[in-house]
Amino acid sequence: MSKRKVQFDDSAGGSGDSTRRFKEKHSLDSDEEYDEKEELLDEDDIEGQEEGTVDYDEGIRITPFNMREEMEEGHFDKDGMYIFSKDKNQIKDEWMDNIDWQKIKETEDGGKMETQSDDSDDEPERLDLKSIYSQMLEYLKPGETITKALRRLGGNKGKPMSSAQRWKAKKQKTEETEEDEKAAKDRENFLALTGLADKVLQDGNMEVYEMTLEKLNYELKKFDKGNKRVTVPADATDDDALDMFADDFDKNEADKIGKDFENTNNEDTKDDKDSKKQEEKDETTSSNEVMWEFKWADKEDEEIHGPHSSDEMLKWSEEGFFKSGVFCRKVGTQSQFYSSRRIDFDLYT
Amino acid sequence: MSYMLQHLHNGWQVDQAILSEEDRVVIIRFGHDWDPTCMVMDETLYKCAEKMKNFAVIFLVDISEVPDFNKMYELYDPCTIMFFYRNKHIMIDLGTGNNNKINWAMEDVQEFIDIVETVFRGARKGRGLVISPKDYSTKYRY
Repeated sequence: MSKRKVQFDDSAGGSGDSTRRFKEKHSLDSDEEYDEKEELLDEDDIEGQEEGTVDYDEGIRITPFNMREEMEEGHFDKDGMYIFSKDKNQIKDEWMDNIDWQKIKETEDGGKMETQSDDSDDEPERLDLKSIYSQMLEYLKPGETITKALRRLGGNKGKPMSSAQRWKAKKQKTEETEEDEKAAKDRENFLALTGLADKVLQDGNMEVYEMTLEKLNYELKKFDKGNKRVTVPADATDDDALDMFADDFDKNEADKIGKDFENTNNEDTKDDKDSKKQEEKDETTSSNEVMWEFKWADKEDEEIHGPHSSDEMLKWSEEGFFKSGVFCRKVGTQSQFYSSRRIDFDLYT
Repeated sequence: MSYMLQHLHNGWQVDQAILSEEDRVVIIRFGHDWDPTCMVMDETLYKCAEKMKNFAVIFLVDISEVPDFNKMYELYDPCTIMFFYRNKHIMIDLGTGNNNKINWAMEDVQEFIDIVETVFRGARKGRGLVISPKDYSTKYRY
């Protein structure tokens, strides 16, 4: 019996902390508090209790004639008033309540699979990027970054409507279905583009929202180059097949009209040159990579090294190659040579 | 020359100029048009405004006409240049000890463009403090 009492004290101890806290400072809750130890009804005072004899009788549960079960969930005070003890469940914690334990268990189970996929996602991810980029192209206008495109697609809401405007719009709703359709389509595009950009962002490309149509084209071309260079030696047709602008189209058209073979061949080579030129231009404009030249001492007649890319410069300066400090400037500018110690090449990569 | 650059005439305009520009660095010159130091600076600003138009925009503020920021930004020099990007003040380590602003007149256009470009690149990468390519600790007043 006394053992039970000890147990009960423990369970009440869960809320004991808060009772003790309130005792020191009088608060609103303090009228619920009482000194449990003094006012407890001794279990021996409950008369006529019996030990349980049989638990079940023909499948029906028999409750023994004693207060044991009740004492587990609460206690009696001196006057015989039964009080449920504040057990742990009653201590409400919003955060704990909000945890979706089902989900946590699921991820625990799925944890192994996830790590496995992590290992092997290098190659498919790369392929994915290419398709994502080409999908993104459809939403962008020339010279537009993804941020701007998103603003264009989702931004026409502008300011929130006043209630009067909203009422008006509701009234006119039947008339402006065309506009609605366009807005709905914009919204769809907006969501699609956001999704794509987010995928790239999660892939680790933090600059994705700053990418323009030209930059995307350039990236796509880089993929193509990586894949095609070995198989296609100086033949434009395959390149053109992957070229978004499809320079090849002109040639096909010419074929249809019936120009002689030599002529088309000429055109083909011209196309080849054109696309190459375009590519070069893309490389200089859209990548806007900064090249550097440097000299070891800040003298007029010192030999100038370079040009080198920002990546190279960053690597060298991080490796301590420029420990004593070199003097560098951007290629193409007529600016003075700055000490490499004050230039953060990371900004230019 | 300073008439060619846009002036801001009250605190609200200054706030809006800083707030509304989303893609470029906002350069604000605090001072007086008639001040010789400012005249030199404005000349430099005017020369580079066109070259920097893709990544920076320049405004001039008369600190007598618009005294709202004098206390907050400690504008007690004849000429002060401050940089903002997306409503955030961008600090520059010029080697002078005061990273908040350029408080002298710069004459070298390319030098100033280089600083602004560094500010722009740094700010776009989320830096609040960038290092100017040149160390000004030995030059000018300090």
